[in-house]
Amino acid sequence: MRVAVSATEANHNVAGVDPRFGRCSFFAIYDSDTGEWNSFPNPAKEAVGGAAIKAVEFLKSKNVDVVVTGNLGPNATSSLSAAGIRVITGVTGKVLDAVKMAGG
Amino acid sequence: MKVVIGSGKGGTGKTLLSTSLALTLEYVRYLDLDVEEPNAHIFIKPDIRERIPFSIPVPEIDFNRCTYCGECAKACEFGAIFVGSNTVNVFEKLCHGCASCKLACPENAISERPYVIGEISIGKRDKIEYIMGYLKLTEALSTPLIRHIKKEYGMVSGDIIMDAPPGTSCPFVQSISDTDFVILITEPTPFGLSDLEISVEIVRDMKLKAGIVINRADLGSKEVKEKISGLGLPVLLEIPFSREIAVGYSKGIPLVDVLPEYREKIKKLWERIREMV
Repeated sequence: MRVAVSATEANHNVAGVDPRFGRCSFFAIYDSDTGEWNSFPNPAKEAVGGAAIKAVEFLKSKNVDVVVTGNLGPNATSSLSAAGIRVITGVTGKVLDAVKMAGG
Repeated sequence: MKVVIGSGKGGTGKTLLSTSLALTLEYVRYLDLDVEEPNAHIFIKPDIRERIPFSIPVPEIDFNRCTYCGECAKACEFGAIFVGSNTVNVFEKLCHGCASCKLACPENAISERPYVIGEISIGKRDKIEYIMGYLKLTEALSTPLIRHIKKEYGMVSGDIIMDAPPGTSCPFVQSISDTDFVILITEPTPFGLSDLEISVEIVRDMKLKAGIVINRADLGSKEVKEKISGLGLPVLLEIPFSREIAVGYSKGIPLVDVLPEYREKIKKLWERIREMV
């Protein structure tokens, strides 16, 4: 299972959960099967419009199964649902703790 | 002659001036291009005869043909399409109606359907032909509506007065393009000056003839007024900061009815613009 957390910085060991989804700074992606972490700058961060949709597009390309974040808007919600990605929202604190909420 | 009234800064008197121009000149066509907040009708009080819905084309997916390849989403500059594993989401509010998705689709699975984003009202008050654009709440794309109104109703001969939206981005640029003269109305405050400078830069870049009207002319500092005069455009008229005008405005009474002497001043302003054009 691959879990993506919206993160405030690149280093997942120290990063906090970014409360924004579409315009978060980084996505920390954890693969629970291999225990591997990868961090990516959010390519949608500076999008003029439709940032959340572009962010989901990106996560889909990374084969993410679950998203853990603070808030999701309607465009993000419907896109994540269309992509078959599960969501856990309302999460604050450290990325390392957040990933556990997804069973990681 | 096509004259558009713009400002940069909001609330400087575009509608105050444009409605008084229309009511003074009488034989004119008035286009309210401030489609996000059209309000010239409050002063002109036209009889609206017709309301026409305005729509943009948005993609419609034929799911019998779609293979979820994602080419449409890749082609979309505005992120208006999301292709999921067995569904496609179209975000109409982000769509600009450009049809790139339709062209990109290898399966010919995309057609277009109209999506209503606004309305055009057509009316009359005495000799004034009145046309108003209205962008529906929650819609963001005013430029196509402004473009459509100008193309459909702004190509006649005779005098046309247009009320532009505030700001200096696409809706403003669309409003002032292909006009004979731009009146930039401002107030002599640092805010008015700052936005006026941007507007002047755009008008110059578009090589349009323009002049300045200073509203609430006795407000602000002398220094700011000097800077306005120094922008290289003629100052065509000054309107004082008057309680009478403000009270009239708050009741929907146009400037030329509050202070009838402005009819002469506005006629002169129009003559001067005609000479410059």
